[in-house]
This record gives sequence, C-alpha cells and structure tokens, in this order.
Amino acid sequence: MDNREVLVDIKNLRTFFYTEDGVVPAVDGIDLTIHQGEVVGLVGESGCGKSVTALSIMRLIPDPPGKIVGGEIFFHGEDLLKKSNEEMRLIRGDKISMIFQEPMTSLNPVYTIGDQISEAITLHQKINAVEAKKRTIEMLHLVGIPEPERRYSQYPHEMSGGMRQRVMIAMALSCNPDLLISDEATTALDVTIQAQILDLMRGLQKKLGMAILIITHNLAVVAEMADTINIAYAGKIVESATAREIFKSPRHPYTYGLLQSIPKFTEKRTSEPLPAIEGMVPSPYHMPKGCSFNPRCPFATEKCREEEPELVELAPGHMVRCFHPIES
Amino acid sequence: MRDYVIRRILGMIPLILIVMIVSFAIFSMVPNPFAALIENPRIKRSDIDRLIKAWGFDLPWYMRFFRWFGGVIRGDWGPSLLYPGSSARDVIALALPVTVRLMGIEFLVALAIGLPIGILSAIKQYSMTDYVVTVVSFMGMSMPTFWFGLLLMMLFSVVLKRPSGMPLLPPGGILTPGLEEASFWVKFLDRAQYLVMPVIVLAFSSIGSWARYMRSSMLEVIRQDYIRTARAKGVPERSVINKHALRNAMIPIVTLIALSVPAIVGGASITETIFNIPGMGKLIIAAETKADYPTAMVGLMLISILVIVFNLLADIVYAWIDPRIKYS
Amino acid sequence: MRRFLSVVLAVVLLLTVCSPVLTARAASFKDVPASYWASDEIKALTDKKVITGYADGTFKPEGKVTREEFAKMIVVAKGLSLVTPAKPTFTDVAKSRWSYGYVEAAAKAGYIVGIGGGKFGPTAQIKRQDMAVLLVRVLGQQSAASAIKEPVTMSNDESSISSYAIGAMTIAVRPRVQLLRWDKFRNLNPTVSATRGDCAYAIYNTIVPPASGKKSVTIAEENAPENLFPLISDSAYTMKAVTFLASAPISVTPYGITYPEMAKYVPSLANGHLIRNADGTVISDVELRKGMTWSDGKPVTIDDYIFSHKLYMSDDIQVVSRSPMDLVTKIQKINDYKCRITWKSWDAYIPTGWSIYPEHILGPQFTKDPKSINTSDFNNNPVYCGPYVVKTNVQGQYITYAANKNWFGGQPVFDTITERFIVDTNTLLINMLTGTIDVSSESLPLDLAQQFEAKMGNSFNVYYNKGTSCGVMPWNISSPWFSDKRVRQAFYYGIDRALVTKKAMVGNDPVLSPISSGSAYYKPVLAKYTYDPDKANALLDAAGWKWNAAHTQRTLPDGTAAVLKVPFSQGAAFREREITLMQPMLTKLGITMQHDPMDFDALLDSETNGTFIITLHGVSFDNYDPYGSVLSFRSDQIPTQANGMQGQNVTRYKSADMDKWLYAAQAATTSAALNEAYSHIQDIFAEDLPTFYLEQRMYPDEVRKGLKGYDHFFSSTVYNVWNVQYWYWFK
Repeated sequence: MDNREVLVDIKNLRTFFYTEDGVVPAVDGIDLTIHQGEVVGLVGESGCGKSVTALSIMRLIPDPPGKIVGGEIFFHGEDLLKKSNEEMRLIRGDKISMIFQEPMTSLNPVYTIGDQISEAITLHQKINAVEAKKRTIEMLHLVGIPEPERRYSQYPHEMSGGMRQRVMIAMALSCNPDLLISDEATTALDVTIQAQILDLMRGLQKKLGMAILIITHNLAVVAEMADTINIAYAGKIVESATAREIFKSPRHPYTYGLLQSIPKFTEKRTSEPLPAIEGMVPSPYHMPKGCSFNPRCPFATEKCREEEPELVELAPGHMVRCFHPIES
Repeated sequence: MRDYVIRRILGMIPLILIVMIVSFAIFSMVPNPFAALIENPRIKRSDIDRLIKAWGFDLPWYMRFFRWFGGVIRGDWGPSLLYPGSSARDVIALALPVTVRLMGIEFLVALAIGLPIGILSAIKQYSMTDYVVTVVSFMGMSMPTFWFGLLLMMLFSVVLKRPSGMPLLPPGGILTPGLEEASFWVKFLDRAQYLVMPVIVLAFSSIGSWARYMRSSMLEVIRQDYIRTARAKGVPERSVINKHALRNAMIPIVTLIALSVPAIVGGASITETIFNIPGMGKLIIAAETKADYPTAMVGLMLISILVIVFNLLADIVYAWIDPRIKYS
Repeated sequence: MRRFLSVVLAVVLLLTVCSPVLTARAASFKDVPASYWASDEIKALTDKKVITGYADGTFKPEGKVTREEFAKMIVVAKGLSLVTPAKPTFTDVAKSRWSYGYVEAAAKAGYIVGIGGGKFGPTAQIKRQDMAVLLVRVLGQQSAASAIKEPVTMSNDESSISSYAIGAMTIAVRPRVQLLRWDKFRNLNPTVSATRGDCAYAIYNTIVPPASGKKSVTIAEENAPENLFPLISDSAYTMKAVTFLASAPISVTPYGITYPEMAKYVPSLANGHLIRNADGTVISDVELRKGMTWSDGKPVTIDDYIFSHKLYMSDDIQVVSRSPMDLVTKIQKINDYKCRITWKSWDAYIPTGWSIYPEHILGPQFTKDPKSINTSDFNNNPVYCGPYVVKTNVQGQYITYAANKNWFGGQPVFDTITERFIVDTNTLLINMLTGTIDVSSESLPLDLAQQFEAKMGNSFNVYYNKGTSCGVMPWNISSPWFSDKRVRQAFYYGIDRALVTKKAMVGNDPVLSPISSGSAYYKPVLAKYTYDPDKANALLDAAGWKWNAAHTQRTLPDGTAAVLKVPFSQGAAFREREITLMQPMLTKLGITMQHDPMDFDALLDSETNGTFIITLHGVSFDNYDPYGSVLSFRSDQIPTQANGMQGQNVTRYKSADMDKWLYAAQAATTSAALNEAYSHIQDIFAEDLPTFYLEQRMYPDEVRKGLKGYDHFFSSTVYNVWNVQYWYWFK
C-alpha cells in the first residue's frame, strides 16, 4: 500500500476514435492511480490503449477523429477533463511532461536543441533568456550530455538517438514537473543506450522526486524501475499490482502468458520453442463478446464468452479482471 | 559551401551556351516573315528576295547563329524586325518594366493571400473552410484567363461606372493618355488603376496553386512528431503553427518561390493581350511568330539566365534555412 | 408708314404661324436624307430660319442661288438688322427691291462690295469662289486673304481660280474654315454656281466654325505602328500613323484620284507636265509649293525630293518597295522648287512619284554610312511636313498627336488626336462600349461590329465597307485538272461563294470582278455565276469527268481520281474553315477536297515553279491602279527562266485576246480608251476564268455620330485618316 498522496487518479476513462470504418474503443474503461513520486508501469501489447491513455491525460488526443467520451482524470484532485484548453496548456510541460518513442523525429529540426529547451522554460517561468539559457545548460549537464555549452547551439540532426532522447528528457524535466510520462521512450533505442537512459531516469527520479508513468510493452523495462505495474489489454486494465507481486504471482492468464514468453537467460537450454500467447490482439472494430481475452485464454469458459469480468481486488493492492484468476 | 557555389557558377556558362544554340535552332524553324507580303499588289517577288537577303534569312541557321553571336559578344544584340529602326535590346527594355510591375505585384499578392489560405486550409482540414478553399482554388486554376479577363472588363468597365460616367476601372492599357506631365503621385495612382483587373485575373489562378502547395506542405509537417512534442511542452497553438510548423513547412515553399521568380520576367501573354499591356509575354510571342530572332533571343536569354541563376539561388536558400542540408 | 409696315409684319408673322408648311420642319426634307453630305447644316439652318424649304416638303439642295438670295441668307444668319438708307448703294438694287434691306445691311457690314461699276448683280447666280470671297470677309480675314499671292487649295483645278479669289479660296479650304469642299475628282470648281446645299454648308461653317466643337478625338487601331518611317516598313499601321505626320507631293483620294498636296499640280498629259515619248520613255515635272517648312522649321525644297530618290535606290537601306523609282533614268533640277524626271518606261504610278524626306536630317547620316538609316533615330522621331507631329508615343499603347499650327494647308481643327492601340478585338469592343473611343476603323470583325451596332447604334454610325482584300484559289491551267474551261466554270457554279463568304463571317459578298469594286471601270462580271450544282455537274459531265459506280466520286478523263488537295498557309485557321465549308459542295460534284496546310514560302514557290494544282491564299486589290490586279493574266507574265521566274501569272493562262486588251490598257491615255479596255478584260475574264476568286472581305467602321469629314470607304493604300486634319465635331 502506498501512503503517499494520490497525484493522478484515472477513473473509467473511455477514449474512442471515430473513423470511416467504424468506432474504435481504444481506451474502454481504464482505472489507474499514480501517487506522488511513484513510478508506475503501464504494460501491454501494441494497440491496447496505453499511449492513448497517456495522451488522454495530456489532453492531446487529435480531435477529429478521437474523443474522450467518458471518465475522469483527477490531477491534484482536479478533473483535467473539465479544464479549459488554456488551463491544460499551462499544465503541459510544467506540471505534467511527456517524452515520446521516436527521438529521431521528436525534435524540431530547424531549431537548436538549446532553443527548444529554453522555450519550454520561458513558456512556464518568468525568467529572461539569459537565465533560461543557463538553466538549459544545467539541465543538459544533468542528463549527462558532455560539453553542454557547445551542444546548446547544435541541431538535432547533429546528435545520436541516445543524445536526443536525453535532450527530450532535459526538456521534459526543465520545469520540474510533478509527473513525467514516458511513452515507450526507450523502445527505439538500441539495448545499451536503452539501459543508459533507464539508468538516467532512475537517477533523476531519485534526485527530483517526480512521479513517472512508464508506458512500455517490455516487462523487463519496468521490472527494475516501477513500483506498481498495470497490465492493459484491449483498452482495459486486466491486472494491477506491485512489481514484485506481478512478477512473483501473476493472477491474470494474460500476465502469466506475457511472463512466460520472456526469454530467460538462466534457464537451461531446451529445444522447445519459446512459449507465446496464441492468437492475436482482437481488432478494435470487432471486440469479442464477454471477456476480450477469451479467444486466446487457455482457461476460458462459457461464462467468459458471455459476460465481461470486473476489476476485483484479490489481495491488498492486487487487482485482477478475470473470472478464473490463476492461483497464487 | 563557397566551393560549391563557385563550381555551380562555372557550370552555368556552358549551360547558357547550349541554351542559346538550341533556342536559336528552334526559332529558325519559323519561316521568314516576308512571304506574306506577296499579298500586297505593289510588292514584287524581287522585293521579297531582297528583304530576305538583307535580314540574313537566306543563310542556313547555323551561319545566322554565328553572325548573331558575333554581334552579341560585341554587345550588339541585333536590330529588331518587329520594330525596324529599334534595336532588340531597346524593344525588350521598353517591355520589361511593364511586365515586372504587373507580374511582380501579382506575385506578391498571390503569396500574401495564397499562403495564409493554405495554412488555414491545412489547420482546418476537412472542415467547411477547407472545402470552400479547395473548390475556389481549383476554380481559379481552371479558369481560362481570357474569358475571366473579358468578364471582369465587362463588369468593371461597361456595367459599373464612376459618377462622372467614366468606367469604374479602365478596360485594358497601362496609362491614361494626357497625364505625361502630371506629378508623381497622380501618375502612380493612374498606373495603379490599370493593374487592378489584370492582377486579379493572374493572381486568382496562382493563389489556388500556392494555397495547395502550402496546404500539403503544412499537412505533412503538422503530422510530425515534433509538433506533438511542442504541444506537449505547452506551446500555445498559435505558436505551434506559426513558429514550429511554419518554419518547416516553408522550406519547400521557399524553394518554389525562388524557382517561380524568373516567370515574373516572362510575362503572361494571354492576359497581356486581353488587357492590352505591352509586356514581355506579348512581345516574345510576337517575336517568335514573326521570326524576329534578335528580339526573341534577347528575351529568351534573359529568362534562361534568370532561371539558371535562380535555380542556384534556390539551392543556396534551401541550405540556408534548413540546417540539415550541407553542400560540399 | 410705320404703322403700315407693322401691320404688314403682323400679317406676315400671322401667316407664318398659321401656315404649317412654311414653318421650318424640324424633321427632314424629302430630298435631303440623313446621309446627304450637308444634311446637318441644312437642318440647323432651317431651324434657325436662315433658309427654308419649299411648300412641297422638298429642299432642292441642288438648286442654284442668286446673289441677292445669298445676301439675305448671310444677313439673317448673322442676325443683322435690315438697313434701309435713303440712297441705294448699288445701282441695280433699288429701294423697292425685296432684297434691298438685306443687300444694304450686307454692304454696311462690309460683306459685299459689288461687281464693279457700282453694280451688285443681284439676279446672277453666285459662284463658288465669290461665295468664298464674301464669307472670308464675314470672317474678318480679308487682309489675310489679300496677302496670299499663290493659291494653296490642293485641288486639280487650282489654276482656274480667278486671281482676285486666290486668297479667299486658299482660306476657304483651310481646316478651321472649310467653306467649300472638293468634288469627287478633287476639283473646287470655283467658277461654278453654288448650290443651295453648298450655301447652307458654307454659311453654317461661317457662323459656327469647325473649331467650335470639341478639339480632340480618340481613334482606336488594332496594332501600333512598327516605326514611323515607311521607307523601311511595310506595316499598314506605320503608313496610317505617318498619314497624320507627313504630307506628300502628290496624294491620292480614296477613290483613286490624284491631287497635288505639296506639289502645285499633278503632272498630266493635259497640263503638259507629263510627256510620253514614242520610244516609251516618259518625262514628268515635279514642282513644289513655296513657303512650306518641315516640322522643325527648315524650308522644304526640291533638293529634299531629289535626295529622297537616292534613299529609295540605295541597296544598303532595307527599302520595302522601290517601284516605280527604279524606272528613273535622270533627274534634272530646274530651280529650288522644280525638277524634271526622265523615266525608262511608263508605269501607272509615275504621276504620283515618291515620298519626300528631309535631306537636312537624313542626308548627313546617308553620306556617313547609308546602312545607318536602317537604325536611325528618324524611325521613331521623324521630321515630316504634315498637319500633325508626335507629342507622346508610348510604344504599343497610344500615340498622341499635336497639331502642327504652321502646316502649309492651315491649322488643323483638332489640337490633339489620341490614337490608341488595342490588339485583342474583344478588348477593343469593350473599350468601345465604354464610349471612350470615337472612331474605330477596320478593326472589329463583322460579328463584333454587328454586336456593337446593336448596343450603341444610337450614338455611333457603323459602316460596312467592302474591303480590298479577298481570297483567291489560283489554279494551274496547264495541269490536267484545270486545262478545260468547262471544269473551271463548273467550279464557279458548283461552289456557293456567297455562302462561304457569309459563313466565314467576313463579309456579305463574294468577289464579282478581277478589278477592285471601287474602280471607275468596275463591272460585276462574275455575278452570272450563281450557285447551280446541277449546271456544274453537267459541265463536268461534258468535260469527260466520269462518275464511279457508286456515284460518289468522279475521275478525270486521264483516269486520276478527283481528289483535290488544297494547300494553304499553315496556321491560317480562317482558310482552313473556308475549305471545310467548300468540301460538301464539291462532294456533290464528285470531287473530294482535302486540307493541305503548308509552309507559306513553299506554297509560293510551288506557284512560281508551276508544280501546284491549286492553292488558297489572300490577295489585295489596288483601288488606284486596277492594272496591277489584271497584269497577271498576260501571257508574258508566266514565270520562266527567261524572266528570272519573276512573273505573277502563276495560273499559266494564255489568251491572245486578253493579251491584246491588256496591252491596250497599258498604252491607253484617255479614260474612254481605258474604259473600253477594262470592259473587254473583265468580259474575257468572266468567260475564261483564269483564276478562282472567293470572298471579298468586309471591314466595318464605327464612327461616333457628329464627326464631320470622316469618309468611310475602302482602299488598301489610302487610309481613313487621310483627311484627319479636316475632321471636326459638329456643333
């Protein structure tokens, strides 16, 4: 149990996309809580609604074709969905920051990285340009970029992927936000750089104390960092528990399947194929009746095909959405 | 960069020479202008033969080319056939300022209206505004200039009148006879009223094109990740468009602008004919059909050199505004 | 006495009021149509009661006027009160005479001085020159008149003016005076009695001089002149512009009559200044008037004229045409104003001579380097001796002309003339619809002119003039196709030429004679070839052109299929259309006609070399010299090696009869002989049909109502602005 204050409380968030081919319920009832200073993981396959959740928090859903159709997102006790555009703008970059998956394209190619970071600072704080530049260089130093004074005037294309992601982080943290959302921030980097960036984020979290919402499809990423892990499937959270609990005793068949499919270094060599979850993520236009995981679930029963299970607290802090959760 | 520019400039020289020879060869396919004189009962065959010989049309085209080229090197661009007694250079020098005035103003007007419309269209893609702009753009691009011009003249000169009974706008021409000794401002305003309708006719079609180019460039840019980053930073929407998006969207547009400048000198022959403007378009066409090769060559060389120079300029400007581009 | 007179006056007035016939009818007289040359003046004067019509509603404009009647007219026109002195001024105008008061008033005002011996000659018909003398006095220009020693009337009968009337006649024809007009033969007829029309015109212009109206006019043209130097330019527009600027020694009226402008007379056999020798050589005199100046003030002398000949003959100058200057063998200067020219052989243009250029400007350039004339500044800033000079020239847009106040013929009426150049005919129409243009000649095509008339017919006159250009389809008579006269006639019967002309929207009538319809010798000999396909087919049958089995196509007697390719100048859409119009007509005759667009040079070459069968292009008639149009039917004009392929008889027509009459026309010296020759020429043409004429083009003129002096007509060499210095707005 976490006795820190609740920072973000998402209740029954539903974000739909209205396209020519039909309605896509990308996020269909997500509940999620982030406490101050907590590192929360949001894990799932592509298309399960995790990025959409993040963008919904930021209110950056492109409208058309997307629309937040229901639910509440409480931040510091205030429902973000009821705020005006201008109020949200002031929050973005200042109280809640986000970093994205593609560092190669996430920075504006025609402005120097220094300018882009300084812009974030001057947007939200009343300091002059010289001060902003100083602070930018501090941030660059903080994220581990060597020769920050020289790098200030460089353009994104003059830096490697890893460097750019560091710049993104510097930009996101420049105003000391309460929450940093990292949307697959390390997915596009090669493994060693990935490890570096994760180390950096861990270090910064300890230093600055902000909460982080790590969105990833890779359980390994959240294993070390997250306090709490949420597993998402087909627009809903299917399991939520502490990291330890998830890895030690996964209760939802999907979580179990995910863990099984991670190649483990320590296991002895076998000639058996790596276990994978059968089937594919359902098409958002044709969600299966009942529990959305039932077509792929080895434990599915008739009930699963008829009714949708609710999120149930099976153990303190451990929520599962299943009629037949796995025994711990 | 400097070496690149020098190399390009050196490369222009053989290019210009080739253009000269090829143009001259093509012009020579036009038959001599004296044959039609036979209709006049007082002109005999021997008169026509004498004229053919005097103007050099009895020589094969390459001999004529050397004769002409020899003159050009000495600074003598040759006499005009269309205007006996005047040199080709004088004839062009009279038509050039008229054309530059008309086309230059039209160019600026088209950019000033077309680009913002394109941006608006892109931001509000698929909205009513976008559809209206698209329809009007296509109308403008498809409208035959001579028909539109005549229609405007009927409206503004025959139907609409000033209180004095004179037409609201003069139907064609460039100046009012009798104002030669008037003050600068009177003459300026007089000239201006003649430009209104031709500029409308010409701009109407270019506005459509510029709006389309800007729209598609802008649409491409708005979808980029760095725009999302800017929004996530809390940049106000107006700055997202005008600062982040526009600077990137303008890169191809600026090159297009640089490449379009030489067309200012070429004039628009149909519009000039309809509006009775003694400009380059009309002049070059007349020179080409009446086999006035000195005048046609001066005009053509002027435009070719401008095209070649502005191509180089476009490349230089491109490198200047896009930091990713570097020439070696 | 006074009471009696007032009673008489009252009765007369009453009668005038009661009798509607005697009242001036503001409408028209039966015999004075709106197109009558003096109808405006007659109407205006009748409104003012200066003159009246007759009880039967006529005016009888050709009637004669007695001297006392004229005195009354002028007194009433000037609003003078009658004068009745005790003693009569003239012995033959007694107090009892009805015209007494008028004659005395005129005498008192100084208008009339009598015919000598104290007499006035009241019942004699007033002669035109006397009318001029009298009205010049009314205008107060008598002293100016007496200072004039040599007449400057630019008429062919200048020498027949009585010496006392020289000054008055000179003044009377000046632009700002215009009391008398020349007749069709460019004679002033000074000793002929003035008609009622003449008097109305003269008196009106006395009380409302031509310069009373607006003194400017705007003319529209299609194209701007290439330059202002006709020596090296063939452009009609250059010639037109130079008409404003340059007078010539001998000019031509649109009706083909020569008259002396800068010269004192036209050299002719009648006046002895033209001699045709037995050996074929010709001698002509050219005598210039004294006192003329170029527009820069330098005097005009015969040296300028002699120098001009050098320009024409120089091979270094790109002279367009040097005919007939190349026939000159000797020029002998007699004095500063006169020279005598010897010519190798006769040419119809010898009496006209050549144009005159200023030696003091072009001479030095010519001496230094003749080639420099081609690029001389004179091209765009010329100096001539004419009624106007160029004030502003905006290349391609407009030219404003300012009146040359010192023109030897008198100050022109209009101070400024603006000539605007509008290339596109639709734009021209729009400009004309805005009302900013007064005159547009031969620029709008037929359909647009008709549209214009429908809209602005109230304020503009539209004249549909027959043009001098026409379409011609020369055929090769030496080819198997056209060697048979019956085939040629079949074409004339089988092609509806009138329809082609109308449908191609260029005119109303086809060509009806090989010589210009404006010529005095014209006979519409081709009118007999009305459209008759049956007759055409019958002629083709008779000529041995057989039908094929399906009766769709014929073959010639030698077996070739009747498929006729008609070459025309590539890009001439108009000719293409004519062929399209003719195709179905020829199909009815079993002949397939095909388009064959070709480079025009190649087309002309094929005509010269005789390798063609038929072609289609345009040709112009010469109004002044019909001989030029028919010369090409002479057999010695067939292009051969012997004449260096220079002949124009491309159809290869040979006829001894035609040759005989053509030589006769060339040698003829009297108009009766010319008439007979041309009559035969045209008849033979209509029988033998050496070539095929198609459409006669029509060139409409649009002229604002109220512009006097404008003469609508057609001519390929004389332009409608030929007398622009005499135009004025009727007030």
